[in-house]
Amino acid sequence: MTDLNTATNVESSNAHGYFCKDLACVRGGRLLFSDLAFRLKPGSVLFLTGPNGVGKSSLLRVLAGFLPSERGQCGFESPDYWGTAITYLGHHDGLKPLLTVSETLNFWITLSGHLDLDAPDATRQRVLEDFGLAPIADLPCRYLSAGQRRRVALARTGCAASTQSALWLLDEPTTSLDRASIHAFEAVLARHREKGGMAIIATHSEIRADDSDTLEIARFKTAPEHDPFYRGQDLDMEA
Amino acid sequence: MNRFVALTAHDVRLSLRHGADSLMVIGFFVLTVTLFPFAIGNNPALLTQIAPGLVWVTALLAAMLALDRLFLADFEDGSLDLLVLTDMPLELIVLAKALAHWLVTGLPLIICAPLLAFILNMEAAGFGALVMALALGTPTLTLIGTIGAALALGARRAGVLVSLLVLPLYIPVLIFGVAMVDAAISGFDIIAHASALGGFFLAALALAPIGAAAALRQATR
Amino acid sequence: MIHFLANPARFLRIGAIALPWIWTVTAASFGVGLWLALVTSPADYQQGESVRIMYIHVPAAWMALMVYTLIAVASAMALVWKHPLAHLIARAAAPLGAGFTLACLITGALWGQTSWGSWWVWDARLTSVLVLFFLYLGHMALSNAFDDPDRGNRAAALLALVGFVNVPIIKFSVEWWATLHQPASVLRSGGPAIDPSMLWPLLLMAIAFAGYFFALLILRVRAEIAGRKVETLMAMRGDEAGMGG
Repeated sequence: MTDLNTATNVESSNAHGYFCKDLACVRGGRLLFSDLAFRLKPGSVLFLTGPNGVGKSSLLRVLAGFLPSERGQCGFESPDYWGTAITYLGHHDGLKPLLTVSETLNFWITLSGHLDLDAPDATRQRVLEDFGLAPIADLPCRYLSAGQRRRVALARTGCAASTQSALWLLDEPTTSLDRASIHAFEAVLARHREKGGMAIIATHSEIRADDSDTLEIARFKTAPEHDPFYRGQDLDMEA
Repeated sequence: MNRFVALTAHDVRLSLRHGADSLMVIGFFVLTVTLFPFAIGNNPALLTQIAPGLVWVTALLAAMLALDRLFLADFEDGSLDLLVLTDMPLELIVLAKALAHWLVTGLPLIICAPLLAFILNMEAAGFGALVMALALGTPTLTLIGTIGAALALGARRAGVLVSLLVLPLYIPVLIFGVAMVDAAISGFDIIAHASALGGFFLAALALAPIGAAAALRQATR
Repeated sequence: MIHFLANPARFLRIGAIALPWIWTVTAASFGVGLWLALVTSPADYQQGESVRIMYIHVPAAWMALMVYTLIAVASAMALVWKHPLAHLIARAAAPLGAGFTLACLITGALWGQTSWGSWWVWDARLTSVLVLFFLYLGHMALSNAFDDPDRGNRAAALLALVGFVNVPIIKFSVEWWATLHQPASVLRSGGPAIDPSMLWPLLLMAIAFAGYFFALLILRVRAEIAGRKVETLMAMRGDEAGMGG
């Protein structure tokens, strides 16, 4: 990981990276972290580590744009819009019980219309095979096990792999997966990185990826005594 | 445009596969309306007098039935997050879902209405105006409903809360809708009422998605 | 000045100083206003003594609108500038506004019965004031409907902004539509069309109502701040027990 403070000038080949600077996040009245910074080069992956509740999921939600940050900025370094797609996978799978696997994937591919998929059917077919979903492609999602559902959700992420510098934000992607499926995910992740895609992954389990970086959120945590936002401590009645 | 159609089709497909939404709304509508002749007893003249109001109030309540689930399923299973992240404008997403909701609940209401007006002994002159008024009014009800559903997303007792938020805004639609049918029965011109209903629809079409989208963004934090 | 007041401690200090003065003004205005309204002001040549309901009904209506506008402004500040007190002020003001609206509706019904012969008509102004009452109720319900109080405050703030369109409708409803309700006599272009012997009690009652509102608002905001402090302490205890799961 290149700490932003020590980064050299951005080389032109790195113009499509992703950065985050001075980021602070307040959730449920607590300052989860502050002055958080990192920089991703195209093709790199960042693992977020830390105990439950430290703010991994919140960081991913801030980066995805759901949660406004209290301070700081994050974003793509690319001046070109077409290279700046964000794909997010949270704890929930986002599957409808009465739709089949194929219908689900078709729907989400259509909805992500801006992605420049040059061969959507081929992509989908390959991703289905990667995760071993081809046999159950016509099965409604309510008949799937937890592991199968997670694989469908990952397949949906995998379909979004065609753009140059898409950023994947994944929150515990390998929950409920067995070793074989985790291998499949590692392969899809590697393919994504080869094309210049980046990923930020919060995980408790071990995901093998070459040349990865780790970010320990706890490093950026503020102690409650110094936290001006702590549950409205700004409403200090003694001041 | 393609994505708008895809989202609407997706929601309609889901509702049809569940089957419950449409049937529940129509079932409620029919059952409630058929209760009134029993309650009012052998008094067809009274029924005729209040028929337009009855049909409208019941249609209103039926329309509210399925509202709290407009966004709830997507919110709970994580699909709403994914929808917000596609770069389709959230207002357009709200419109697509509203359209799907209306196709599945409002349209059946409009189709059933003449039958129910007949059960309530409504005068024949009012049938056409009733259908037209409902056709103009039910989309407005759905659109206003999206605001309530989005605001109350994830709340305790969301169903009651949505009704509380949305009913006051329904009152003008109700007033003009019933007045339109009454005017037709009395032989007056209905163009003024139709224009008012149309005006409400256009205002809701323009403003409701903005409010609902803002509420959805608060909900998905 | 808004940012000056944003510090809750400062707000509380200023509130504590201002409160006795506000109560004094309120009591004085009530006293003089009620005397003028009930005793010395003239009866109406058509409605007789029942016109005196106006001295409660009209100030209550003004307060209902003013409080909602205050809530809408506070909501905008809360959502856009994340002003810390704004949510609390909106929460504190909503029940008070609902009370004024209810008073307006009830006194209006009484007055309508004596002058029109009907407790209620569905004309534009009455309907829109009823909608205002439901908006207040909805605001109160939304604020408290979520386990996360911030989510409730934000949803209620949005509702307040969305519903603000009702305020100009109420104000101008008597001009835009042919209604049974009488048109504006005081707040209109061209100045008040009402005799001073009636105008003065009306204004004094309005001042009394406003003073009453601000006094109660300060007390309620105090309570809201204390409530948040309690939440802080409880959350700190929970966190001290350690993170992890």
